[in-house]
Amino acid sequence: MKALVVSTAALLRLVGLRHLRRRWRRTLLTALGIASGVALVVSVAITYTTLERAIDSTALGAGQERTLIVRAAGAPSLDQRAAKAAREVPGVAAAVPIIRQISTVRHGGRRVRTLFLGTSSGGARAADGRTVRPLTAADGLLLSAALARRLSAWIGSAVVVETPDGPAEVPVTAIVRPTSGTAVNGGVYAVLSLSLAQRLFGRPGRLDAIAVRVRQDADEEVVRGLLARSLGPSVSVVSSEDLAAPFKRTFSAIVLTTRLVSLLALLVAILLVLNTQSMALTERHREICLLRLAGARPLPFVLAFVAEAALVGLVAGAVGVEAGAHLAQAKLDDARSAYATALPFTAVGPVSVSLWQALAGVACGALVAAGGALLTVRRILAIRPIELLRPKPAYAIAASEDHRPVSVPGVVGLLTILGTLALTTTTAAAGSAVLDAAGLLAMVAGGALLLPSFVRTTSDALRRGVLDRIGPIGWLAGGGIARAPSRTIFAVGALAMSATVALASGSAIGSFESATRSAVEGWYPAPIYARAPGVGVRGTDQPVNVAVGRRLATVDGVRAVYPGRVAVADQAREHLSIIVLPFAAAARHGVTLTQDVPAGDTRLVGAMASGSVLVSRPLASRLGLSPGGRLTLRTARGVRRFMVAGTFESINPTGEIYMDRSVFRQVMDDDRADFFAVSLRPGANVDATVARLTRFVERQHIPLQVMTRAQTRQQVIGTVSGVFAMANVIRITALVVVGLTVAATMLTAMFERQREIGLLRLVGMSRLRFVACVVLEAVCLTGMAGLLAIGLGLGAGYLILSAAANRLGMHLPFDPGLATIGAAILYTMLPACLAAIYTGWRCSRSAITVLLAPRA
Amino acid sequence: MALAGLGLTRTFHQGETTVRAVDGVSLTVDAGELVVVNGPSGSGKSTLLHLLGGLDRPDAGRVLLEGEDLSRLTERQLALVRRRRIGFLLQFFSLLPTLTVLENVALPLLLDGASHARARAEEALRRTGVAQRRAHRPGTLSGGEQQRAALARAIVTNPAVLLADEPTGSLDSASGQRIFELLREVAADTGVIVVSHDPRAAGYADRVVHLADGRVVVPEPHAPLASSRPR
Repeated sequence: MKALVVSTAALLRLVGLRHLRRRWRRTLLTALGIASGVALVVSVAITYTTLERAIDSTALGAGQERTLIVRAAGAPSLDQRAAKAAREVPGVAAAVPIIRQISTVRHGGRRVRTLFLGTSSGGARAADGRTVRPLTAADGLLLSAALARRLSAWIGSAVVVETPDGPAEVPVTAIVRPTSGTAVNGGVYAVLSLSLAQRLFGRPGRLDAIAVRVRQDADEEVVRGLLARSLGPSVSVVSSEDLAAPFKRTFSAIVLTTRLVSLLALLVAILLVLNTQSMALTERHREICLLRLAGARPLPFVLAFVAEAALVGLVAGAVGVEAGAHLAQAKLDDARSAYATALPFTAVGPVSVSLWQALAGVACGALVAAGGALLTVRRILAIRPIELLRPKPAYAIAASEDHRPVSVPGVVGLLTILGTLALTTTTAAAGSAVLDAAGLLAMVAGGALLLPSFVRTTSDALRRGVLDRIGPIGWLAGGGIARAPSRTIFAVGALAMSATVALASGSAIGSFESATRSAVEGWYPAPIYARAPGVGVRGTDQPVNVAVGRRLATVDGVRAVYPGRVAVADQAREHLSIIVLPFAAAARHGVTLTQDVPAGDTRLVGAMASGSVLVSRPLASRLGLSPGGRLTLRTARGVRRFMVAGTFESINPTGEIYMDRSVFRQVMDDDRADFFAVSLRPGANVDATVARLTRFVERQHIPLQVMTRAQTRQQVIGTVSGVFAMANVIRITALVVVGLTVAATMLTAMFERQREIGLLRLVGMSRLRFVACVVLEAVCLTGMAGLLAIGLGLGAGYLILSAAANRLGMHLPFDPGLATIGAAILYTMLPACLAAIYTGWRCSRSAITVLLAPRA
Repeated sequence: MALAGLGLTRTFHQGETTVRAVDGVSLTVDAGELVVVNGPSGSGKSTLLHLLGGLDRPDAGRVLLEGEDLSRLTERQLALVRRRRIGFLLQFFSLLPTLTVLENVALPLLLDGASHARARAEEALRRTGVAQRRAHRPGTLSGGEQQRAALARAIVTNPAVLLADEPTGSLDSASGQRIFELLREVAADTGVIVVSHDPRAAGYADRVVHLADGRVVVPEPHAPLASSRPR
């Protein structure tokens, strides 16, 4: 053992490390590929860890252990007296009244959308964990240090807060330091007294919630029951975990998608390492022969080779961790803004990489590199000293041509791919990340088994059908492809794998994006919309009184105004959005307010006017609901059961319900509207009416933004685009790995054939012809790879999308689009051909004597 | 004069060291003549061969192939020269592993678009005695067979000159002897220059040139064929 270690260390020091330095460009290329793969994996992990942490800490701005949250059921707010009643319940240590409002604050030209927490003086002390100074009714805003920095505001500054009654100037009276625990809303928030919050945000005598701390000696569930009984049926009592769960589910689909894409990218990074290690092995072949001749045994070579790669991987992994953290921080805002209305925070604070995450990232880099190096072990073990005297190709040449169209492994591979796809579409496979990853790996394995048969069949067809007919260049290219099957198989496999990543990520993410755009278009069919302030996909931060709609209807050109409300309800561990629209009233005018409830569907509209609701498919799937079933909701009138009229497809993984406004008014004490859909009189001009409405709301100081349908859709799509920005960054990073692997594959293919290239030049092949031959070969290889990748990539993309959809009970049509397919194939072919051209050009410029000389 | 190298000099710079591999060497060969170049390792034999074959450019001097100065040719023109007028035979079997023996031999003709390329290649293979292996890949041939196939390729275009660099260096005695015999046959109507350590080589030569330290030491005059040389 000691001898093994000593000889391995000697080889590493004398050969491996020197080689890394001598071939620093290749070392850099390998490290870059590994670092990109690691950065991808790390950034995904950090981003979602940070988002989850933000959810946990900000579910209601309290987020502490043994805390129950009391909220109104069926109404936007609670009576303030409920806080006193909650304090008197046995087992309650404290009951903190809370106003929680997301709004925009401005100062000195800066504008920040942030979380406002209104609470009593006792509550401020509890929330901080240490007393800054007690809040009083005379206080203005207490800004968190991070918010103060963003606004460049300080104690004494006057900031402007957007309120339902318009902008209000409020002084800053203190700066709050963050606690040592989790930071609420990423450390960006403002605290104000309860009375000021009630006054500013139009909630006199009302609360949004009560945070109830349960005594250590009390049973949480018992206290929950006592609170519900004491406060009556018009409240819901949930734990912090219950509040966080639906938010965490909100982005689980994207988490899964991006994690699977990053897994694929790491596999491609292994191929990158394999390529560069193959080049290294070819270069050091003579060296190894000499050392074997001098008595070295093969095992130390293997260990030194793997250790050398692992060293590069360690460094690359460390760089990848750092890059991943930066990538996560850079894109975190996009991710956060995408879920702006679905998640209860406006900021997430800085990312932090835990020690375990950092170590895992570094180890990941080393493992990927070592894994790639291990794939060359067989070649190392096969090297014999006699090869010093007799140079041989780095790849196997087939003794005779194999014309079998299929083989047993090929059939098994094809069946594996098809079987995996079939299993993916069943719900039986849903919900397990391990199974999803296993399915993806099974597809890759199936592709690997199918690869030799596929290459054999297509290269034969290419050669006979095309290459042999285009002269000596085609004949040489075809011979090279068909008669060096191991080289061809490896090159096609690496290229296909790379294209598969590009295609899988593009098709999965692209399909999700396409479904989202299609859904958004269906949500907003009216020609004009007036939306309340705030960022939101459907809801807003500060809905306005529904009576505003009647005023809007007086504007010239307006035929009718239909108020829309997105109310929140709690149902078990579900965070439901009740989308309220006057479907029946609009249908009488032939107006469709959402594609999910067409005005022409008189049966559905009639059912909803009678009290039935339409439930989103993800929610129906989770609650086991079907048409004719009953959905139980807490309302202002107590617990009510609503008939389910049907289900609709939704891209929102949190639950959604459509309810007619007439029904909503009967059961809920909520007279607000997030938006108004405006229908026009016949012949009215859309733009002119928008202008009139805009002037009207400005004159009347109504905090509404008036937009056309296209503008509304664009604004909403812009809101969700942060999701895809994040996913696209991940896709682009994966493509970096892909591009490097593709280039390395072609460089390796050329590198291993230098002697062959020298012979061709020796017998009189011109440079131009040689480059043409190389390019033709590259086109053939990438063409074969592209063909295989279309099948594998679309299959993998379908698997990724289906896994996400199955888990959430959604229906996401797989819609990759020809452009996505074309772009993915082109992205793979282009660097391959460019790499081939570059290497061909380099070889054509090299001296023939150098090409033919034994490698030093 | 089939090939004439006049006053050839080639210098290599390796770090701070300068090595004059070939220093003012002049060498000619006629059609029908076999010249052997020998000398100790590092004497510049292979470098001289590379210069004569247009694979490398001299720092000084000229190479005239049938009166044409190779140093004035472009790379494209040199490729044509290598394809049509110079044959090469290297120590390590210079066959493309992915082509059959016949395809390897026919390669220069195919690159030229010459007619009856395969028929001419078969003829060359028959001449070197490996026609029966024409459909095989080089990896399945013995060392001697591979070298004979390589020789067939070198002569398939009826070149003006054939340059051989240690053609028997990796062959057994019998195979090596056969190669020399074939070279002797080829030299009947082609100028042949052989760089070789093999002591048997001189026995087949019309002339032996001895190199040492990049210079011709003693150019031996035309020597009668040794009586021990087999016919």
